[in-house]
Amino acid sequence: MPGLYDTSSWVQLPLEASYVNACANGFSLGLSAQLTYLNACSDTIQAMFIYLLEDGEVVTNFEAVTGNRKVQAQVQSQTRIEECCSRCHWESLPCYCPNGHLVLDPHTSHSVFALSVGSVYPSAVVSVTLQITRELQTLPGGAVRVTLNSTLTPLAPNPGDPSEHGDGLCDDRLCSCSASCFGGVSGTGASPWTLLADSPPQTLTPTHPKSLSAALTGLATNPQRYHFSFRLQVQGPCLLAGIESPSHALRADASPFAVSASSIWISLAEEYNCDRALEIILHPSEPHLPHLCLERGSKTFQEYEMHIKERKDFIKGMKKSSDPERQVNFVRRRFHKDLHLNPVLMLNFCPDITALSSLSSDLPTITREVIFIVHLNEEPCHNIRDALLLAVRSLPARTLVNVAGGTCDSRALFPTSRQCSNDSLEIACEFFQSNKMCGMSSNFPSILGRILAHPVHRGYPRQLFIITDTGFSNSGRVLELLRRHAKTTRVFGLGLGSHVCHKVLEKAARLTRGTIELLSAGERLQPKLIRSLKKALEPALSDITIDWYMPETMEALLTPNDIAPLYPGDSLISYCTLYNTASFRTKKGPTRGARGGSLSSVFQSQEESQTQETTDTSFPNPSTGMEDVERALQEISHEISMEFSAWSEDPERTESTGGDGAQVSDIRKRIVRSSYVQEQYMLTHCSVSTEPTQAPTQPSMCSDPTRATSHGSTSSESVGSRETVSGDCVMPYSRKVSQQGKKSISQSEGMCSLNQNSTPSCKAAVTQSSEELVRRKALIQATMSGRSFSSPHGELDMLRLRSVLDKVSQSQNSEDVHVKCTEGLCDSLMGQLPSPAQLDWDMLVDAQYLFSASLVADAANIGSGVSSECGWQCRAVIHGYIGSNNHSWETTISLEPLLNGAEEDFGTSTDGEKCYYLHQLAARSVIRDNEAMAWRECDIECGSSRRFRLKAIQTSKSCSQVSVFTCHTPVDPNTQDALPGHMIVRKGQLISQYTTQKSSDTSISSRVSVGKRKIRSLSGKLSPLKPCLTGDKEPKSELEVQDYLPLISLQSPEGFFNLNSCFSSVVQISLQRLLRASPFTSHQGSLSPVSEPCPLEHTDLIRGGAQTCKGGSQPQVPMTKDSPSLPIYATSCPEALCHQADSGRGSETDPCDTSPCPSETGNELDTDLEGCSWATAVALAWLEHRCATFFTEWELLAAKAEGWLRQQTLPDGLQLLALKGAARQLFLLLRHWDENLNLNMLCYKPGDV
Amino acid sequence: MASATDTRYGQKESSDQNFDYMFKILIIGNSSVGKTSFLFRYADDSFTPAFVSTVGIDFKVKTIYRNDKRIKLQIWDTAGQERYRTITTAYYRGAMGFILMYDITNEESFNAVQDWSTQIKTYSWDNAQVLLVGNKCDMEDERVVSSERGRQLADHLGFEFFEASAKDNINVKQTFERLVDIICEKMSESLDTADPAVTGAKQGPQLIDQQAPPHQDCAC
Repeated sequence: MPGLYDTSSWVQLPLEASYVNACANGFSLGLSAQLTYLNACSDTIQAMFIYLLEDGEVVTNFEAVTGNRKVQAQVQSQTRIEECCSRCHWESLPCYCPNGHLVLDPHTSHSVFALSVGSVYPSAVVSVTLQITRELQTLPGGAVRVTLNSTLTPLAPNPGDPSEHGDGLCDDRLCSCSASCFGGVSGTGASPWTLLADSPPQTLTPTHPKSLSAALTGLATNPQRYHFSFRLQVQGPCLLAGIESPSHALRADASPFAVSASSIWISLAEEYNCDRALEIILHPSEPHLPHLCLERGSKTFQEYEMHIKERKDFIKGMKKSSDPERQVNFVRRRFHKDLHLNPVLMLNFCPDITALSSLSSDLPTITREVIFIVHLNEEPCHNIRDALLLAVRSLPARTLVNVAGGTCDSRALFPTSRQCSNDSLEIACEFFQSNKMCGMSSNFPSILGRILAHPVHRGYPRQLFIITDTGFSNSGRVLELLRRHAKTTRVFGLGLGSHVCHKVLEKAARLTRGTIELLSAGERLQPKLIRSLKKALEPALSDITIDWYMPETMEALLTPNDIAPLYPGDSLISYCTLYNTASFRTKKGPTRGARGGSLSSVFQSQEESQTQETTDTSFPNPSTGMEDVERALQEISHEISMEFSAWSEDPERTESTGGDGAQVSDIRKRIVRSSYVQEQYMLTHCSVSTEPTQAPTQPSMCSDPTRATSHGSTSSESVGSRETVSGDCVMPYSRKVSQQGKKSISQSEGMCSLNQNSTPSCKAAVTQSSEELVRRKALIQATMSGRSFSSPHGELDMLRLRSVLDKVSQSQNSEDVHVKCTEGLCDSLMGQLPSPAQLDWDMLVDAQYLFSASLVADAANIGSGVSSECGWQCRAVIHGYIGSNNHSWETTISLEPLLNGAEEDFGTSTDGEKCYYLHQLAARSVIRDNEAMAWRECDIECGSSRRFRLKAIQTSKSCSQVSVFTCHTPVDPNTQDALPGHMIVRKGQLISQYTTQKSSDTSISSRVSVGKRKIRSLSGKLSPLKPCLTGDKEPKSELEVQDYLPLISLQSPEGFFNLNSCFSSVVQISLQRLLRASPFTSHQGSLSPVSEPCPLEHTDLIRGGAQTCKGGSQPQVPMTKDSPSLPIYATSCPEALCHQADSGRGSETDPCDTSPCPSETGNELDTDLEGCSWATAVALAWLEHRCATFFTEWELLAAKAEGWLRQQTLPDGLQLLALKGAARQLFLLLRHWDENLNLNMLCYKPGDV
Repeated sequence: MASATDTRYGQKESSDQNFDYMFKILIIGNSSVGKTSFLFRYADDSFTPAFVSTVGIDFKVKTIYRNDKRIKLQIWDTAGQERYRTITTAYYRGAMGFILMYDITNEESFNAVQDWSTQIKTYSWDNAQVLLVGNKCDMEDERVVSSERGRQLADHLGFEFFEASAKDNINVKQTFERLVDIICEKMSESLDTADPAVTGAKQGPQLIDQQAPPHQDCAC
């Protein structure tokens, strides 16, 4: 119950009034709230304001006034833990030490804003003013959900309900409220938290109502009703289609001065009753399109320029040389500090993922990394083991699986997650059966830490299942860990029994946007586990990159670094702070040499970076350019891979990638170590796209001998080759063409194919058509049309870089070159790539040629000061993969308003003063990025970690937001004195606790080679499974509901079943019957018509082993049987005796040519398509007939099987429906078969065609 | 579609700042009865035959003179499609006048009038004035709803009735002016009570500067 508290007794001060003035812009909400509290007691008290931050909420301003005293929150560096607080133990947190220090664990401290307000006199009023910003959640339909923090709208008893007064107040009310909030969302689909709402609300039973821990948990309540006034301004990037509220009646108006509804006001239509939380759902008119929102900085570009130029350090720094690049570098180094001075763009995007993909249709192609962590106190019962088996078996073939927990000390089952092959599934299943799973490892956080430290595989969003029946020893650390990985990992909690610490699970799920399921004793785990699994497998947009295209003189600070995969209903929010460096660049630009801006000139060599301090920020990032080359390459390689598809399916290739990955990661680590990646996130400018203005301002490189040599001969070679292509390059391509080129590129598929086929792509690139060249040129033109930036940097660019590196590393080039510095890398690339690729580079690199024509115009523009051309716009392009399909979206926004220097009213601001809500959110994101980098880097290099730490602190202070490294301190604004005896201490920072984690690995993402969907690639590994994994359970044929586990353990990862004796014994239908009922002629033909069930048959087949029964090649059956049947068989179907003769049948019976031991051969499967498809159909029918009640449990398995069937072209021209019909018919017939019907006496036989 | 970040919008044009009253008016009715066209005809005197379904709720402003008073009309155009019906009700509140529109060539849109009327009664205040308008009266050949039926329904509901055509600019201006007149009449009746919401000129600054809530009660 957050609120204002008396720190001696932890009694809440009653809230008298709450005035909230909010502004929703896109997916952001900023608000300023005025809360009035009254000290009703007769003593002077020491008050503390406690505010529980919701996910993504930031307090940006705080002021409390009582009497004539004011207290403000100021951001200061985090102080060390004092002696007096070190006595507080983990278990006793949170605690309040006698010296007035509040000691919190790191997770709690993230989510709490607590500030001492000082002494409050009796019956004095405390007026608290808060400014808060947050990112808003979207609902699956693209609607935006606005909620207010419960501190602003605490629940109060109804006057008609006097019984509510007292200590236990509002408990029921809380419950009913949360239910109504969650349940009331009409027509917008279920909120992701509905599941959470089902869980018993633990907040209802606080340990002690008047304690610190009670103040830090739960929803706010107030002992009495209070005034509430609310106003919400909605400034959308697009118009609203409507608003609704499940909680209150609303009224929407526009300002009488407005001329359009682009900004509307929402207020409450009826009086607020203090009885439920306010919830508003905004429906944008274009819910699934990306949008950009612009918010001006506190200074215009001109004012900012003045601000910089007046700085002492700038003047001092420029004394030596006022080289434009130095000036720009100076600005770049101030990016994170001057964020609030410059305009910010916010990109909002809520893709309609369910429209683009659905679980049922895309099941076979779904790629996920699914990790199960089992944390059990008690001996796991069959329920758990079976459920885990089922879950693992239900995974689609292309997912990666890993298991951890039990006694196998903090080590996962597989060193890295493995694809769901038969082998890995079997190992996992064995693990579940073994005793290893029993017993609880003492240190859950370390297990979790290690699992999370495993590199995330690109394209495989990580889903973590925590199955537990007990609490966690160190929940704060667990949550802190998960919070750090929330971008990459979704957590699904499964709590068994009553001892579960569901609070932690719930928080974990909330942090990572997963779900939790709680089980009571004796409940089956399977349905809930499968439900979670289905949620984990829901379609996702992953591998998201955002390319920003800017006017040429623009620099940008992009944040966040890591873009999490988007699941249905999730939204993407990305920020871009704009810095106009035109004036810094152009001062002396035109007088400089107009030529010479080669690639080498843009990059500074490593030697220089060591001597010059500025260089660490001066690295222009080549990756965006590379990315385009990469795309082009990717596209080519994709085409090639289609041409050489047979080659690409070489199983060795698939396996070799693991080794490759390790090697590459080594290289990458070294790159990480260099200043390259560390600065990447802010050094977003792309050298290749900036030439028109940047190149002329560059000192002429070619004329500088020292530099020229430092870049080796490769660059000079490219200089030479440049001349040859110049003719082509100058050709002006219209914008239209370039757009086309872009589109065609963005639709190209197969990121993985690039990795697999990088080598051939280079070689075969020679064969590319001229059309291809044109297209690529167009692409380059497109990128050249301004500056371009892309995010995320740390990850994706490295991936692209890496795949280029792969090519390079195969050559004789020494690794040092590219490890040392990126320009070396690029140069060497230029040298190493075969000529067509080199051509690309030249075109990319030497924009002089491309832009020589327009150079004059550009210069003129710059000369005239502010350019007012219509091209002043920003374009953002979002790329991402859903499954294996590439999708991209685009949006633009005009930047022209920024050029009008005068501070005209830009839209209608909330109040007289401007609120920089988007800036605050961008700053928050920058702080988070730096925190994450500091944390990552601390294992590699102490120095860089410190630098990120410093940056986080600087941003934090300049924007008055807290970071991990800073905290709020109450300060009297008049005297600037801090209030005595106040401190909030965080105990046990996680940093440096996990030294074993290789942080570079977390960002390295090896796109694990994906087995082709064709069954061949995996079938080589198919081995006959043990008949029944749950062998202890005797299958009872008379059971109404049968255990489906033995059956599913026979399912291949791709989803099909093999028709063999093992299968027949599990489904309890003899092989004879199965074959007889098969719609495939080869099956029927393989049997003698009279070979009806004899008791021997079954055992005989078992003796025959798990050998596959093959259509048309069924010699084993008759041979193990009594001899009399053989002649009949032989005469009836002579061609079936394929041992003696070539099968005269079509290609699908080629099996006969293969070895008699087909399960060991790689191509067994496509030879026995009949067997597999029939067995799969039978298995589906079996599940439907015998296990219908467990539908929710085997649903995924069945979907997998069905998906596999749908992909097959069935032999004999059979339709899928007919096949399934035959399977159902089998089960109908079986009833009668069991009644001992003699088949020979039937007048109608299914097999008798 | 208007963009919030477009500076052309959201500016205080000097002409728009001077007004004595501001009326909020909503146009409602089934999808494709011609609400947007009707508004465009009135506010911009333009007409486009192409049908673009309205999704985002927007308004247009038109200032007229009545009895030497400048009256600013803020005319909101709503989406008629069924799925938007529940999420547009918040806009009804505070509206002084409604134009309830049906299409004389579309029986269904006429049948829905009753529902729309209920919708108004539920979500707007009691003295909101409503005009029933049968649009597309230029398409006499395809008429399925006779004027008489329209008039009868209007009488039954207590609304005034017009047949109009946005395409041929028939009765468009008259409709709005009549609505303004009715509102003015109603207002002068109740002006003694000095409802702050009716006097638009005062409402503006209030909307922007309002800090304290209008509610005075609290059961403390």
